[in-house]
Amino acid sequence: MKLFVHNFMSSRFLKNVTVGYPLELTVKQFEEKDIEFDRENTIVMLDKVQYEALLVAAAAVNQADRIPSEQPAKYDELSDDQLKQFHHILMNIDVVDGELICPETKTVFPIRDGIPNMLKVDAEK
Amino acid sequence: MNLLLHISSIPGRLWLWFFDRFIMYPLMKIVAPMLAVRFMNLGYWPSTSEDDRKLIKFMDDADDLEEYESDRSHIHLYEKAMSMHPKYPNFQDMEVLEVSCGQGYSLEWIERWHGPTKCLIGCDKVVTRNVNNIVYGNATDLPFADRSFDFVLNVEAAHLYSDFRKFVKEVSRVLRSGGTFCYVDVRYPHDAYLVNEIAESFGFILQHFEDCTEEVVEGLNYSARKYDDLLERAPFFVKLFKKSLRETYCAPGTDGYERLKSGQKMYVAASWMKH
Repeated sequence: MKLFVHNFMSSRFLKNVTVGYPLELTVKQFEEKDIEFDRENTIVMLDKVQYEALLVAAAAVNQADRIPSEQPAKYDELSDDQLKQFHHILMNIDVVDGELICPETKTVFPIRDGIPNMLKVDAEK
Repeated sequence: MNLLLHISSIPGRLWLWFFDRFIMYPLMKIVAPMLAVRFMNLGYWPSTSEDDRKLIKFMDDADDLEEYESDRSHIHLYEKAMSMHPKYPNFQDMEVLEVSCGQGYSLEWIERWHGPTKCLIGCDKVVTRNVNNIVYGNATDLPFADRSFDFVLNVEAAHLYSDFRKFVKEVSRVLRSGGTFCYVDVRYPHDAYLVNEIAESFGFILQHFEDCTEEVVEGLNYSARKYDDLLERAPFFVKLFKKSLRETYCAPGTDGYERLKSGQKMYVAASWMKH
């Protein structure tokens, strides 16, 4: 699971969950790839990223220090070096083994072999 | 007489219902890589109508399709679904979700020929291989945040969902305002038009609605030849389910094929914009 996927995920479908976002993330194993950096694509991608969730994801792989703790006002004013840090977190990190956790009910959704299992029937077993 | 025929067909229908849900997908997990089965839909063969012009042009313009030749009719069905999107064939910079992406080959196809998307995520109850950005999830409990996507795609899967209305409600929830939902699936004629009523009840505005049964039957003729051939070469434990598998891909001569051909079932292609 690429780390940016976390930015989209929610446990809102669980009973009694009102927001379910951002999911807590624990990472037991991840791989770092080297996907080619593209300045414009990175800016477009960051444009709709939920920053709070991005910080959660970056912290889960101990790389929160790569990005500012406050959301930058304008991504297109960042340098290439700064954007490369965002690109690295969003695109280069594949979570292989870990857990996603509902922030409200603490229901655990495992990530195995890089695939998060968000099936309610499995989580409620 | 009709009642007797109906009653006598019930065990067969129950078996196919059971087979579709509990045997076929686990079986395909083992068999698909062995038989190079990449797409699991009935297929589509475009007509010369105005509706299919964009699709035909796109396929004509695409080069280097040799590796996809045997999947052409399945890819046509995807292209048919996507061609209802106002931005077709260019989905660059969009956040796209495919609900029921199967083995995920469609994600690779979309990214390669319609991307690079800003983000492309697939969701399925059964994941048969580890591809980037696939999530195990239920179509009626989509594990995504509200208003996350610009485009939701659903190809020939919704007839298997436990609650179609809940699925559409979930699609409406995860789509942004102005986003597009493209849907193709087989339905009974008497409920095909309910699909739009349900979509409208969740804030969707109809953009396109088409009965494309004839084109799907043509697609079936093409794809069934390939699968019949693969079945002949399949391991014995697959051949045990030959009849049910042929029924699943609606090969000529099966009840499913005849139901489509005779109009007892119809194939719907529809798209909506979220208000």
